[in-house]
Amino acid sequence: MRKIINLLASVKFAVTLLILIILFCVSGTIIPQGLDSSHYSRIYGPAGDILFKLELTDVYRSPWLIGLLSLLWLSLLVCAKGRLKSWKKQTGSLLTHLGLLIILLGALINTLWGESGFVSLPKGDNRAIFLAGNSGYRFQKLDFRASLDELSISRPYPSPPPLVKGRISYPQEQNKNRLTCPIGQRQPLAPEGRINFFDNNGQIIAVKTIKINQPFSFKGYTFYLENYELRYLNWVELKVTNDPGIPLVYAGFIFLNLGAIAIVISKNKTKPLKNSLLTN
Amino acid sequence: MNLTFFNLALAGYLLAGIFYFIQNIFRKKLFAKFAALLLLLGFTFHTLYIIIRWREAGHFPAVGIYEALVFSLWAVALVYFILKKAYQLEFLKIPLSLLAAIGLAYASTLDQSLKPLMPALKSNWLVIHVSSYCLSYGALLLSFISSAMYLFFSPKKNASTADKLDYLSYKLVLFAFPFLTLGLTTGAVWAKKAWGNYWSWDPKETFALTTWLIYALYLHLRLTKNWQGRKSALLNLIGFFCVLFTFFGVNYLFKGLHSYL
Repeated sequence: MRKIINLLASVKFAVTLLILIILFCVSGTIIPQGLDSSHYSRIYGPAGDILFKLELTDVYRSPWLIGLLSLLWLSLLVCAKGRLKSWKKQTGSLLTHLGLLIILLGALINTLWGESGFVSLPKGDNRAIFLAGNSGYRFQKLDFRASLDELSISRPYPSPPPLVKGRISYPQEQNKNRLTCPIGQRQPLAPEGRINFFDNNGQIIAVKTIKINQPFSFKGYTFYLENYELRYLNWVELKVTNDPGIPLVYAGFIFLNLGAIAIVISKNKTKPLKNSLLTN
Repeated sequence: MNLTFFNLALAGYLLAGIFYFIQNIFRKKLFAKFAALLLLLGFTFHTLYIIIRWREAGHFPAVGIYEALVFSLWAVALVYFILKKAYQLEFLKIPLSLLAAIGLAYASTLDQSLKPLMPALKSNWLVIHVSSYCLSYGALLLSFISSAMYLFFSPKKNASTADKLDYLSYKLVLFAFPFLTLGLTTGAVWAKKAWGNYWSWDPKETFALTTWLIYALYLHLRLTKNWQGRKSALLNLIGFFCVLFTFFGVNYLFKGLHSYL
């Protein structure tokens, strides 16, 4: 047991873990992720099959990365415990390690108990919402229904003034501070939808407004505008999530940031852990 | 948009670089003072240009590759002026002036039109996320220059200069790290607010995390394993290549959620 703890506490072990995690992260951006096995045989030839079998084609959910992150968690835990005794001298280091421990815990909770899904809402027709668990694919029906009541789209920018010698010319009366959409560029649109919620008897229980970047929460679930029908304004797709680990993740972020600041301003920079600190 | 201030800033940086260079050869104090004044003037005009662009665009001017480049060059100069005294950054004055001048000259070839802000970017998180990243990248760039000078230009006989460069590169990473952390975490919070997931292993996110991990590794090796000099400078170079890749590479190579830049 002591041998294992000493291994987990060693900087060499943590560094090896970090390097491996970095390599896996990089591999995940180089190898296209989450495609069908046939794609990989086409791109990489026979090596594609091996990549697929090794789950390097779904790296971020592979046992490799999850295993490495679990080991990192244990290593962080032992390291944070070692810092507890001299916390006054190593406040920053302790806070960053605690922050990371909490973030990873929050991520685990999201994976185990989080749910997410999409719901497609045509105008007028109320629909049931099914969510899948983040780790498996158990679909679960929510105990309320939703429908699209109204969808409108505004164009937040005035149309561009005429081009004069390749530059946009502003008419005198037009306010120069108002931004115009450059010629040849698509107007950014600002859709706004009104969503009605129903109980299972068909009674309206809530009305909510949704915009891009402005999700709303209802009964513990958060709703995002994911997609919309531009021409007939009669359909939206919403993303629905429930991430119970989010408060932990955010708390971890706060610890991590405070710790990083504390490391920089502290006069006592982190020193190597003495073995005596770990063994007792 | 009026480019007078932009051109004055470019001229200020370029002339400062030239005068610092002349001073290096002729060792006249007067040239150094003049160059320092030019650098400060360049930075002042750079600041004014950004303020005016902010007013005209009506949003924080760090959206799109042109604005991001102009703003991050400004952040590099800002970090230089903030830390000049405390960290004794005089080694970096020539590379800084020339880099700012070349960077702005390159930016002037890009599309400078004011672009309307996409609804997805309309958020207060834009300011804090982007400015903390620009500040940290600014310090990391200066740190990269110190390490590169240490590796390739530091005189063999002059050990004290080499030691100073080595220490400077470490101090700059240390300064950058909290901003890097703030940028990464505010990015995650913003992603949760805007897209519904705080982390989706998008290439930009993944490389930002990789960058963070490399600098975390750098600090651990430096602080607990006493890595110094060559080894630590090489790791710092790798870290900065990751910064560049996160900043530019990802946008050109991958189509991801984060393709605003």
